[in-house]
Amino acid sequence: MSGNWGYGGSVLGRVDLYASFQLTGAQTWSKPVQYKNTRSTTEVVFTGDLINSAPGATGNPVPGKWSIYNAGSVPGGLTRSWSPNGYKSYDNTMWDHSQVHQWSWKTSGYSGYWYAYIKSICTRTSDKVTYRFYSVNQLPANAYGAGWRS
Amino acid sequence: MNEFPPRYRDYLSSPGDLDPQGSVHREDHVHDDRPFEDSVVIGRLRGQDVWHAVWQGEREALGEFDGTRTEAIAWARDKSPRCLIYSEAAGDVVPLGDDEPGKHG
Repeated sequence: MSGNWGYGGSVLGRVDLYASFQLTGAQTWSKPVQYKNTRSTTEVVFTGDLINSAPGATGNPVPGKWSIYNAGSVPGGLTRSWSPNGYKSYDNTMWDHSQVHQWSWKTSGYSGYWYAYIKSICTRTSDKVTYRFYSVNQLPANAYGAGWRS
Repeated sequence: MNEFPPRYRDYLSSPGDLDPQGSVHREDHVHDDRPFEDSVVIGRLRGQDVWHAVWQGEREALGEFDGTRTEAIAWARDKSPRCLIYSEAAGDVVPLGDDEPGKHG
């Protein structure tokens, strides 16, 4: 996902966010998970999580799957990836999954932080062994979002 | 639920801005009275000539392997008698052995 972000009606930058999801059995592997901003930003943090969510449902986090990557300060124009291997989750206790990534960042001279998140297409199992993606429009509720918080 | 700072989990509290499609299905734990049996699932990493195998335990992945298809199959067979592999011919994950040429149209 990409978009402009700003403060008080002024655009401060444009951010490009990317995550690629791959399923192997009950494991969902996000790699690469990337961040790029036109403006230099600080305290850049990526998070990964697995939620128990069927298409159209808000869902709930699967306990113990949340993980964080501190990307630190990122100069404008540079791409940072969740290193070394992205984010992996493993769960075979729920019928339905969606993997979630959030990126958040700050910039000097402004209070608060900006964030954006995306949720993967839902996946489902019938045997506790193999999960499969639903079709491309089968997303959890609130499948993406962004904003600013003080 | 929010044992972590909200900054890192805004997706749990933000209002939705998408009108989702599809229906809502059940969301509950998998209920299965059969005893758990470990397995290995093998798939080809997207855009790469690398095969990724995951040895699946009851609560966690017991091991992972990346290598050629032949290497991944050998590793899988060493870990579990129940092995599955992605078959390009079938377009799905199938039991190891069913992916051989001639098994699918």
